[in-house]
Amino acid sequence: MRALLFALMLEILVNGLARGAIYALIALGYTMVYGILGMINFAHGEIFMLGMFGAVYALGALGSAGLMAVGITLPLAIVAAMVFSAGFGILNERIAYRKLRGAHLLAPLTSAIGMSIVLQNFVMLSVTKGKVDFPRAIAAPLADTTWTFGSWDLSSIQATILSVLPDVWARWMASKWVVQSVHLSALQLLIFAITLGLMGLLFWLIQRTRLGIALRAVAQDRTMASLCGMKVDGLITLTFALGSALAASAGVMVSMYQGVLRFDAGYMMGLKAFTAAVLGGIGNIPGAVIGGLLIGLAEDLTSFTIASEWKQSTAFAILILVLWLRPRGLLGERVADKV
Amino acid sequence: MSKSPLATRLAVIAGLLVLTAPFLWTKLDPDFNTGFVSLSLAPSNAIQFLSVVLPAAVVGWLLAGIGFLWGRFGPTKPVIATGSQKLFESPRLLVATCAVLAGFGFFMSAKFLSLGTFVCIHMMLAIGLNVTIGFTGLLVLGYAAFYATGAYAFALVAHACPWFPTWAALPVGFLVAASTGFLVGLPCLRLRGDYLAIVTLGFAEALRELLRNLPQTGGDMGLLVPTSARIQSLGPVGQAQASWIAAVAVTLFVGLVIHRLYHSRIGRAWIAIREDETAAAMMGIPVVRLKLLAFSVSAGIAGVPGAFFAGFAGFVDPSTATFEQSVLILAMVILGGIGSLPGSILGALVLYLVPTLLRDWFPAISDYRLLFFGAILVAMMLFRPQGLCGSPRHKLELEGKS
Amino acid sequence: MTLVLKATGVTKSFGGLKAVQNVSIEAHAGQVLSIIGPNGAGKTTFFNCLSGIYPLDSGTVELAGKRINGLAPHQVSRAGLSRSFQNIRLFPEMTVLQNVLVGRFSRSPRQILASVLRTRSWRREEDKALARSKELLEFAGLSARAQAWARALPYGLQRRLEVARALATDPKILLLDEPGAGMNPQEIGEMMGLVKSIANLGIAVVVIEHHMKLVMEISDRIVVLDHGEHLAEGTPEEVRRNPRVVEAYLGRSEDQHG
Ligand SMILES: Nc1ncnc2c1ncn2[C@@H]1O[C@H](COP(=O)(O)OP(=O)(O)O)[C@@H](O)[C@H]1O
Ligand SMILES: [Mg+2]
Repeated sequence: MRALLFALMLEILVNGLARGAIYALIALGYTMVYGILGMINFAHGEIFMLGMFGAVYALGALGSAGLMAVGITLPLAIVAAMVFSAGFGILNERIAYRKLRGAHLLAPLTSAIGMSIVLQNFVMLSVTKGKVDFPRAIAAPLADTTWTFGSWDLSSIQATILSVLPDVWARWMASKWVVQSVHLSALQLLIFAITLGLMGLLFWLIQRTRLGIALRAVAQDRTMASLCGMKVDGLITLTFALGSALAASAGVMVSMYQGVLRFDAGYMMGLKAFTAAVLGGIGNIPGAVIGGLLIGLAEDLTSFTIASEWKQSTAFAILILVLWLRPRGLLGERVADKV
Repeated sequence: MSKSPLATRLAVIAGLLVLTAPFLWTKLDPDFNTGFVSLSLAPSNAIQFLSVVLPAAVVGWLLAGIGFLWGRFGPTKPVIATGSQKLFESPRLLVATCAVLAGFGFFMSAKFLSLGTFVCIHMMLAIGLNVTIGFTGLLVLGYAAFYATGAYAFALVAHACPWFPTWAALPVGFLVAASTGFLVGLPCLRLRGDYLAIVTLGFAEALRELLRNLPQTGGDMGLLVPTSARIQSLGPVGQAQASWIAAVAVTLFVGLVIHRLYHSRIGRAWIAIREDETAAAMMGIPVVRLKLLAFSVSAGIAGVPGAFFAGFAGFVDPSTATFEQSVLILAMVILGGIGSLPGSILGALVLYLVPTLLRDWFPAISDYRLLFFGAILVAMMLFRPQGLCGSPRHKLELEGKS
Repeated sequence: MTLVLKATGVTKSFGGLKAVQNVSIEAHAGQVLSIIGPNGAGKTTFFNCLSGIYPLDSGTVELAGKRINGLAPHQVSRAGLSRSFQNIRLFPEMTVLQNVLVGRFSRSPRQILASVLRTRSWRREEDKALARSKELLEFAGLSARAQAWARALPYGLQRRLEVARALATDPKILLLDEPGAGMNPQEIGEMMGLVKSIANLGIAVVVIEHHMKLVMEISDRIVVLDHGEHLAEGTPEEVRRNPRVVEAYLGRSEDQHG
């Protein structure tokens, strides 16, 4: 029984953390923009989705040019997606938000929602309403390389569960809770590696460089920063570019993980990543990472213990709980607010 | 700014053209055998998309131009706003309007009346949403969830007690939706206003999941409302006429209630909260409590057309709670003018009628509907934040202070 | 002299910065108490502490014998403390009259249903609020502008409107944060006249003001803050003579304000 629980926990941990890493990457974009502009960039989920498409289009262009080797095309596609999304993020800020800076909260928020709807429907109308396959030849080598740990013969445990518990419960538990081994795929490893790498880069940028100091200054007091001679507009543009690029990298990994992408992929993802940002404390960069990982874990726990149909609602339930019990998030929000 | 406005504008346009190019001008060709994908030029894609969007943009610009000229050379008095003020201040005029509109019912086809009834339903929704967005300055994204709450509440009640009178649908819809709104607003209204947007959005998604998975709510198929609880014909008044007359009366009633609340101590407190929360609190206004009140009233008003819809259409299904429905109502409020009661009425009229009427000529319009709603939200915020009916002064506030 | 407000040992820090340290004041009905001190001395923060906008780190605030620290701003306002803001915070998209009417919120009965039904008692209350608001506009010299948008008022009148609005809550004590900031000398003079006449109504007035000459003229007592600390207190004459004050504040201020 102990081995069983251990395996179960490992499985949840691996899947949940992989999922959570993705949320964290997207949540960073929400939190950075919120920290600097004090607005929810509602279109951020769509930037994530555009990153998915950007990668597939890049792979298509490379494929047409005859480049097929995964080792080359995949990194190129990830970079292309990041540049592509960053471009959309920058344009989005330029077109829909800049004019509304300093306006009532309602104005940029409404504009952001409009943008999100426009981008989503633009992709739906110009590409397809249905699913687009992520090129299998690129994803498969990674997704299919799996390592299996442990191999437990659990038939006796299963039989015990079935005999001890009432029928309905037992069947339900036996089908869900019995994990015979733990799988780890190369793709999951790649997700961890890329997430860690990008986050490391971001923290280095923010904590250790002059640019990072300037960014933090703008987040604390925009007027003051501009009086000190910082190029506030440029720094805000940079924030959008960074957040969008991170979301795009998450997009590539999700589309590889799932094998398909759709125009509406950013909707739920955005909602959950935002929840992650709130959970960690909005405006707080380490908070976004921790929030993302926790939401990922919580979702996998829900699908194991309750039912996978309710997985979508987990994030919402967490959001409500956090707002109720700890509205400033786990690590505390960082938003300037002066009277 | 270092760059000239023209140069930045050109750069933005160039960027847009480049970034949208892959979507518009190329096509992905997956090769199922090798599992690779390649890209080919496909101008037909762009032509199809642009053939709808460009004409619509031109029409939009023309309408904006007419609006601009109207603002310049038209009557200086805000005609619609004063009209609405007169209407809702005079009970006699209100009753007369109601009677005239109801009278129309006897000369119109059933199809037309059903359209009119739906317009009324959306007017009520827009009026209700305006209470939170327009009066209190709080954004609600999943407003359709409360519409669905009202609809399901009535359908479930009617199933449980078949003797339930139809008119009682309205208070039931209001009360259930208002209490739901209260519970949803409770955790997040203490916080900054923008959390409400996300929480209501999440609530709408969760509610839809609930409605689709619970056995009591009939899953994706929804529920049928027992015939006895539906709106029925009365003597010479056919079912379509009865629905239309009831819709007009209820809409005017909802408008009247909101008009009166707006012009009272509570309404002033709501506006004060929108304008400056800290200053409002310093004036003795319990900000959180009044926000909760506004949000509950707003949610409750969505329950009224919800229950009305159930009694009128005879069924309810989870599609009443879709994001698309919420966006439609939001666009109505924004187009008409944030905080303006006649604006919400006008916005609902335009945004419900235009797509519905256009659908007969251009079936493609239903696919592009949401795209245009999104564009309306952005364009209104950028170019006319006060909406069609708002006072131009409101613009200053939304556009920023410095 | 009745004691209206008694603040004892008020302390507030932001992170490492001690913005207000152990400051105590007493304000009496019908008297003007001025708080002076260089920029950044913690005067506004002190007001924010009194009015419930910031929670105190330590100390107590008593209004007419009842503790009000720990209450939310709207409860503080109900208890009888009202204030204006250093950076004007009117309700710009409301008329001048409506701005003052909002101030009547907590002094009129709760009548949600009655306001929908427009009952007679609702009308009566509404008329009462309206009459009182007009009276206050008259008092502040704003009657002619009652129907103007608050945003459209000239700067000096916006400050007066803030005062009128604050008075609408029927305060026992009124805190004014730099009511003369950004005004020309004549406007400042008029504003100080208004301040004096408010005190004459029997309201305790606490004013933050930089214009020394006027401060000396209108104040009954003066408290000097510096670096968040209570530096000196006394009648204008005593404060003027206090060498610490002259050193810490007046000298520098004369340079700044020329
Ligand atoms: N919300 C806040 N967060 C951090 N520091 C603050 C805050 N409010 C005021 N301060 C700091 O407290 C000190 C006192 O400020 P303030 O009370 O505004 O001074 P005064 O009104 O006397 O000019 C200043 O150094 C200011 O920067
Ligand atoms: Mg100050």
